Amino acid sequence: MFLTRSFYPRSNWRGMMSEMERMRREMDQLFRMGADMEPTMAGVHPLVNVSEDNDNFYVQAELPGMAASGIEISVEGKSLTLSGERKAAETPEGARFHRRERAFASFSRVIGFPTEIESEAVQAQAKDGVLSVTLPKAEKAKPRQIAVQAV
Amino acid sequence: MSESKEIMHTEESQSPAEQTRPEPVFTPAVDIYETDDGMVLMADLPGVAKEDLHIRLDEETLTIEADVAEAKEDSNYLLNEYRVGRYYRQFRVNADFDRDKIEANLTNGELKLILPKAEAVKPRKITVSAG
Repeated sequence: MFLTRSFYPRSNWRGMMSEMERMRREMDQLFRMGADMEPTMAGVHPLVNVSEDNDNFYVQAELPGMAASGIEISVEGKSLTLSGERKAAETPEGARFHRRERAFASFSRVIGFPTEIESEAVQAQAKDGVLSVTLPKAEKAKPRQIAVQAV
Repeated sequence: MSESKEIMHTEESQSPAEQTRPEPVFTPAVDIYETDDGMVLMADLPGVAKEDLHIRLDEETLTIEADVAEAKEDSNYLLNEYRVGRYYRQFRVNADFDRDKIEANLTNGELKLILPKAEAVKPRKITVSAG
């Protein structure tokens, strides 16, 4: 009764270049993981993006169908834990499934950071099924500019 | 563990028309079920705001299309497990729906689309009268 659209091969040059770029980034990441970022995971859901600047770490996680109240966040030392449970919406009796591609489960994920986190100042917000957490780096872990004095 | 990763990953696909901008297009995961009253489609569309979601029902194709605001490209990623881009998925539907009563609801990046069947195609119980 239902058909998905078939996949078209990527044919444009720029698309290919960006694909190469993405693969390169992913490879880089694989090699780097062992060094300073060791993600310790219990289950793979949710997928996260972690970025940083001088003052903060930023974590974004895709959590579709999760209300803000259902997401638990805790910070301890150098790690952030995201946990919660995604429950399936109730289906009426006698419903016949054509497709069932989405997964529902409880999840818990620990993300480790290379430096200490200012746990008091962590902020989190959920919007449109994406969780954004801002984690300020501890004062002593921030990069410092050192002025060179002329003698 | 690798198995569950498969489930959660959004499949990447190409929209039928070639794109002018090189950006990824994802196939959102869906659940579809049918009841006597109609069909319900639930889709995971994380990062999609209500105004960026477009649902079209043509003669017999249902199209779900959504834009997601691009993340800052200059971000210094420590871990980059997912990318953002457009969502696109089409379904061929052959049931007759009551087009005026279709409802779509987007909460926390989860779409619930209710397509009620037209009265004419609803299963009807026929009572046999004794002659």
